[in-house]
Amino acid sequence: MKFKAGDFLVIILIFTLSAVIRFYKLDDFRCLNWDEASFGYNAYSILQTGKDEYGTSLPMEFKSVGDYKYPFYVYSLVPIIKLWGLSEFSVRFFPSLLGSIAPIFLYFITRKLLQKRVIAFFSALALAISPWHIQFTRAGTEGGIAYTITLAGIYLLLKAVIEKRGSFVLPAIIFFLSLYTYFGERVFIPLILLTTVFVFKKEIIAKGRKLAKTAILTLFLLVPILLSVVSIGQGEKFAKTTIFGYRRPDEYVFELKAQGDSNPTVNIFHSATLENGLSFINHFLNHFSPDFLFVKGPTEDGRQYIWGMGMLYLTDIVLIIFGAAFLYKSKISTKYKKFILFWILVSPITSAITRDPVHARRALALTAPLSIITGAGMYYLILIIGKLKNSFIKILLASVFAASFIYFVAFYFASYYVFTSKRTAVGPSGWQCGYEEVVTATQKYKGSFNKIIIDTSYQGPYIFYLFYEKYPPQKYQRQARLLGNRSDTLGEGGGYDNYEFRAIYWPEDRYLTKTLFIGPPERLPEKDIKSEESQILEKVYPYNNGFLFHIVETF
Amino acid sequence: MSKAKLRIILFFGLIITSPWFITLSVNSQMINYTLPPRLIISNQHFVDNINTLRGELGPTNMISKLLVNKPVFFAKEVFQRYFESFDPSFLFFKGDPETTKSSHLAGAIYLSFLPFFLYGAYKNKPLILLLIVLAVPAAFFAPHFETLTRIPFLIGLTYLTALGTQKAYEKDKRIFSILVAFLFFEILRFFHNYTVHYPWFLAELLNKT
Repeated sequence: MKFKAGDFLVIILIFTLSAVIRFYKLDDFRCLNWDEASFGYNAYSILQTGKDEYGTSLPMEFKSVGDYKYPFYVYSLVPIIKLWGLSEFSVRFFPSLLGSIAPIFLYFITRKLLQKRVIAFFSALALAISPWHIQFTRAGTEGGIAYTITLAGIYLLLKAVIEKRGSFVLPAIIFFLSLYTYFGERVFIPLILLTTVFVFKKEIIAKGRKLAKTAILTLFLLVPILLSVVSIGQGEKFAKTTIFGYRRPDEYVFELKAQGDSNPTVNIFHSATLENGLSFINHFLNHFSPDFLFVKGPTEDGRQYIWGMGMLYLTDIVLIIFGAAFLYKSKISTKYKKFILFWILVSPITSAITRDPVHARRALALTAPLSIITGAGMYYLILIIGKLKNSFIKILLASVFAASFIYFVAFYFASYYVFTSKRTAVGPSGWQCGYEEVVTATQKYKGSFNKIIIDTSYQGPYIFYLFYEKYPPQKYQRQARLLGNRSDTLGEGGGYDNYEFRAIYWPEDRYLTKTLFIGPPERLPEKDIKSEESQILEKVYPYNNGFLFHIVETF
Repeated sequence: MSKAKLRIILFFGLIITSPWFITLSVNSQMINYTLPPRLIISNQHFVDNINTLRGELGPTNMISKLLVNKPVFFAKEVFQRYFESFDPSFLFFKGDPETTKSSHLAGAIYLSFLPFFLYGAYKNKPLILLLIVLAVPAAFFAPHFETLTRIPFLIGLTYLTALGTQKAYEKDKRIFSILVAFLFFEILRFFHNYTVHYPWFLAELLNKT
């Protein structure tokens, strides 16, 4: 496969389009969420002290709120924060950059598999404008970074397998980099490797000697990962997120027996293994549900979905059907078709093994193979319409499809910038807007109170205070403590200086004197703020959402 | 036995053991067997929603009218209900949200139907078009995941499953036996849940009403 001037032009075009979409209004649209704040602050801490927020030197996992984040994204932020300081833009720059590059890797993968530049261009275009891919490459999510690295690894792996002189060393290094970026890749990469071995076993066996070098390198690189897998942190992460770590409550079994089950029937029809298995299949199939893909998306999590549409454009249904038909009929190697099919089938497994019924970020791996099929569909549709003899029908079909496509893309951007932001800005399952304004407002009162209690019902306020105050990491490391971190829930930072982060219970807390309370109206209800003991000093209004936090002092 | 006879036996056997058929038949006294309310483009809730969205876009202009308008949003509602027929949760795990039409401990059909259905569809591709058409009527009724309006679709789906079951039996009796064993287990599990646990949910529903 030779690199031509046309390829260069395509790369520039696709990268420019991807970058414009992913960088436009990057730091003033969706508010920083607690994961992003944690990545940013830990990178700041590494930059300043060489340690994470808890004082661990150059860790290979970041404890954060008990979710033990993987290291690559944090370390990649260090030079960026050195250059631009600790800010929302710094945190989001790298994921957006890699997200803009991902379509280029897909272009080369598609060219390798389908042998047509036009289809490769359309596939890259589909990924560049994919709502699903944009959603997780504009915000600072490690999933988007990891998947771009994985795509690079898949391209190099295919080169190594298909071409005579291909080397397996580089894809191995790339994949290991991805393994240190996001949890999901530790499930997805072994699956895609198994897929490659299954589909291309003859080619791989023929390259036996070259694989020996890679095998030695793999063993060397695998040791720290194996050690981390058995670490307490990763064990906790595994237990908290997957169905394997979930222990169903005894009350559930008592309820079954109260309704008429006996021990044998519980073991046969309601065993944990059976129900976990059915759960897995349910979660797996949900990722192919038209509701998830084209209609509503994952509505339970405000950070995952775009209001009023699914993870893909509605017109993508037509393109995917045409793409599947094209691949079925085409003379492309059956192995390449099988590879794409198995890629689609293994992609949702990372998400299916977790407790959420459906999760767009964990199933991000689906975006690339679906984009390949969408790209093939664009090509085939144009081919079919072009072959029609009746000009009127030709123009009509082309116009209807083009108009529909333009409409859905326009609606997507309207929803992204207007409808979704209004509906998902606040709260723990939204973009957690308001904290920047709250932290700014707190500075006016910080020196006047011995104790400031900040409510934690909106999740993670401590990291926002650290981030926006740019609190010196060396000082925080001496005070850092994680509270409430259990096997089934994440924790919260306990506090620093005169800050205490916990749930506010006003019926009791009102009796604490000379204390400042910061929390949402439901925790500090105005009607219960009695003038003889307390007063509302300020109501904090985030950018367009009405008041979110009360700042209340007690006398 | 002729192939046609076997197909008919399989078809009717799968229908009468399907969760949707059993639940609708047994609960016939509790179910209102009339067509549910239709989707109406001039529904006030619909109009209010569109006005709200236009307001969020800023001053009303050609662009906001093109992006947010009744025909397009009505079409989206129709598409949403159409796709619900193909939703895995509706088909295999939860079924109809109404407790009288689904036990919620199983979907409208069994999960074991899926491999047989896929094989039947693969071997009888033109019938997929029929299935696509049979899902259309349900798209124009307001309730989500409603079973009565999807009966033609479920019958078509079961027919393809029967075709696939027959073909699987002819092709590889070992794989067929394994899949049929899963199907029998699912049927047993459904009957267990239906007779032991479902009455509790029904009783709770009746107490509320």
